[in-house]
Parts: sequence; C-alpha cells; structure tokens
Amino acid sequence: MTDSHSAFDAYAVDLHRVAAELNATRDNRQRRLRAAVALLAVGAAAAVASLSMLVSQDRASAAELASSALDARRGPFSVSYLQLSASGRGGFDRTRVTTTRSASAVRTESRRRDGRRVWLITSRSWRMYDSRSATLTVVRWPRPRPVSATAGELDPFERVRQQLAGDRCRAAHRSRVRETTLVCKSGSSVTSLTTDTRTGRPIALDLVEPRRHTILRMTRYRRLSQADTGAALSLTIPPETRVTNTRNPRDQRSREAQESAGTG
Amino acid sequence: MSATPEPRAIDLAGDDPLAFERFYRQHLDRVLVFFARRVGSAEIAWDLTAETFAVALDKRRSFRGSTAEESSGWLFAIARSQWSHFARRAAVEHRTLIRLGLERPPLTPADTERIERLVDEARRHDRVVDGIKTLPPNQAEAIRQRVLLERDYAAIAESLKTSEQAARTLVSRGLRTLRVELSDLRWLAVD
Repeated sequence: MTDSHSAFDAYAVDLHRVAAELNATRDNRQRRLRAAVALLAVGAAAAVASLSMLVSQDRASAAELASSALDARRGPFSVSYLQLSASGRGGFDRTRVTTTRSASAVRTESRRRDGRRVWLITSRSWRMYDSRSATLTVVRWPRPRPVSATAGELDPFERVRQQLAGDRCRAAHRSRVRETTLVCKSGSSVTSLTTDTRTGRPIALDLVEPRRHTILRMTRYRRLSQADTGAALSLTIPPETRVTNTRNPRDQRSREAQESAGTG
Repeated sequence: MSATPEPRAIDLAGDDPLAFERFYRQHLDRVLVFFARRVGSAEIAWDLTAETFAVALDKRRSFRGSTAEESSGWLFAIARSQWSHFARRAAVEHRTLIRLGLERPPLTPADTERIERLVDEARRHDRVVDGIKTLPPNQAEAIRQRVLLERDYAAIAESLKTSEQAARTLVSRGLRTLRVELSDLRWLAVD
C-alpha cells in the first residue's frame, strides 16, 4: 500500500484521526472520573452527581466508566459492584446494568413503564447499556472481614454505617438480632439494605421509589455474595438516614432498645 | 542471554492511535478477500470492510484478548456479523462509520484491481490446498515440508523415516501430479 492515492491508505489516515480523537475524549473523561472517584472515596454525595453526569454525557462509554470505577480502590473500601440506572428509550422505564469488579459478569434488567412486564437479560456485553439519561448508584463493599463476637469489635455492617452515614445512623446491631436493615432516604427514593448480623452478608437490597410505586428487591443477590463477605451501603448519601432493625420477633427487647435510642 | 521475544499482538485497547492503524494494515487484505469472495463486488466488499474496521475501532476497548490470533478472531467475528447483516438485508450497514465521522473513500481503478488480484490469489491458494489433499499422504507431507517449511531433503527423509533419495522422489512425484492437476494455473513453477 504505497500508493498515496489509494482509498485504503486514505481510510487508514482517517482511522488514525478518529482513534486519536476518541483517545482525547476518553482522557478528558478519565480525568473527571478520577476526580469523582476520589470524592467517592470520602463518601461525598457530589461524587454520585458527578458520575451521573459523566454517564449521561457519554452513553457509549458507560461501560468504560463503570469498569474504571470498579478498578478504583480507595480507603478501606473496594468498589466491587456497580449499578447504573437509566431512563431508557423504547418504553423502558428503567434499565439497570450491574457488574462485578472483574466486569466478567453483567446483568441487564429492564422494566416497562406500564410496570407489567420485566425482561431480564444476562449478557457479557456492555453494549446492552444505552439510555437517554442516566443516574448512577455505586454500592461499595468493605473488604472481607470475619465477623467477630469479641466485645468492642465492629462488624462490617457497623463499619460501613460509621464510615458513610456518620452519626446520622444509629446502631441497630445487637448480638441476638438476626437481621439489620439500614434505610437511606434521598429525595423521594428510599434505599434499604438488610444484612445478616451473624455473617455480615447482605440479605436484600430494596430500592423504593414511591412516586413510581416501584420496589426493586435484590434478595440473596448471588453476585454480591460471591464478590465479598460484608455489608453494603448505597452511596447516595442521604440528608436523613435512619436505621430500623430486626425481623426477629423474639428480640423484642432489642427492638425496644433501638426505638428508645432513636427517640432519645 | 534472554530469548528472542515472541511477536506481540497489537495492543488494541491501549492509547496509541497508531496501533489501530497498524492493526488495520495487518488485516486489510484478509478482510477484503473475506468479503470480495462472498459478494463478488469490489465496491461492496470495500463498503463492508470499511464498516467492519469502524466497528472494530469503536469496540476496541472491549477486546479482552492478548494474542495476534485472538485479535484476528475478534475482527473476523465482526466481519461475519457485517456479512450476516448484508445477507439478510442486502444492504451495507454504515451506522458506525457515520457515527464516528469516518469517511470511506471511493475505490480507485488500482484499488479495484488490487482487490481482484487478492481474490484471484486466494482462489489459487484454495486450488493448491485442494490439490495437495488429493495426493498420497506421504507425498503431501513431503511437499508440505519442502515447499511450505523449506526444509532440506535430509531433514525430510529423517522425518518420514526414509532415505534422502526417496524423499526427493516423493516431492518430485507429488509436484508432478500437482502440475498436471493445476495446469491452468500458470504461476505454479517448480524446480
């Protein structure tokens, strides 16, 4: 291919030009992403907004964004599970893409606006993700740590609560409580996480949007439990956070203690 | 002393924009032939080739392989997908080309001639491969070692557990048969 007038050579030059442009766009996005991830590491709510903006600006690169965010490991947390929620086209109300840190498993779930039909597609392809606008929620997992019964030692759930919710959350964990639920409110949406207090494993993650009458529950989410042993918390840092506890009817005293702590 | 490194695959997912151009030049001929033999038109083959590389450029970050073989397989998976679309719709997809702002230049007469020549070469190659398959196994193996691997007769004889003279005879007879079989292919010159 030495003929400079060849269509093949001309196309090679054009491919080079577009590849350079795509790289420049990506570099810029990566810089903003790094800044957002740095904010995420300290639990700043602005990071979620920033990441959301990045996703909505460049839908095609949502996969890269997710992948990069998943690679980031800051502080005592590792980002190992990421969820993108989006208002999609074609009558879909919600499309969610979830992945593990290695990006080896991807799950896409779509729900129609009429709420009557749900498609669940499992795919290895990131290209499933496409939306007009998007919001992003990151669920971060603490690094694996065995739950110890030693007095004074915090279990993973407690560590997450303290790290991210600060003093706005009240401890619900008691040694005899089997399940603990952390509820985070943000605007009209509510995210709650129920954790097995003995093992530290999550039992269910509920995303509730009252305006849309939508409740999404990820019960015994296999990929989460495979990824790490530990509690999780939505990083949509709420202005108001409260902890409800116990689905253990036998632990009435603990519940009462919790309630009195909440009002006192 | 360190061993000579193996040839490395082009890092498609990296940041070097020249890498994709190199990848394109490495695979252009094979992709052109892939399409030209199916559609019988240089123009359409070039259309499909351009879109295939546009899709590859767009998706290069998702390539997870590390070897040249894997990158080639990945590219031809895209090419097969383009071909499948064309076979169903009888129309070439230009979506990625347009989205990325790439321009597919029109073929010059020399380009068209180049594609036709590549297709002819590929057909001749197929004929030779088919011809070799019809030979007795020991002759086919002797030719493979002599012509393709360029081994000397002593090595061929040792490999086939025969004498050097017998190895020469196997190659000679095999080529003679091929010469008759492929007499319409003028370029087959053997000594």
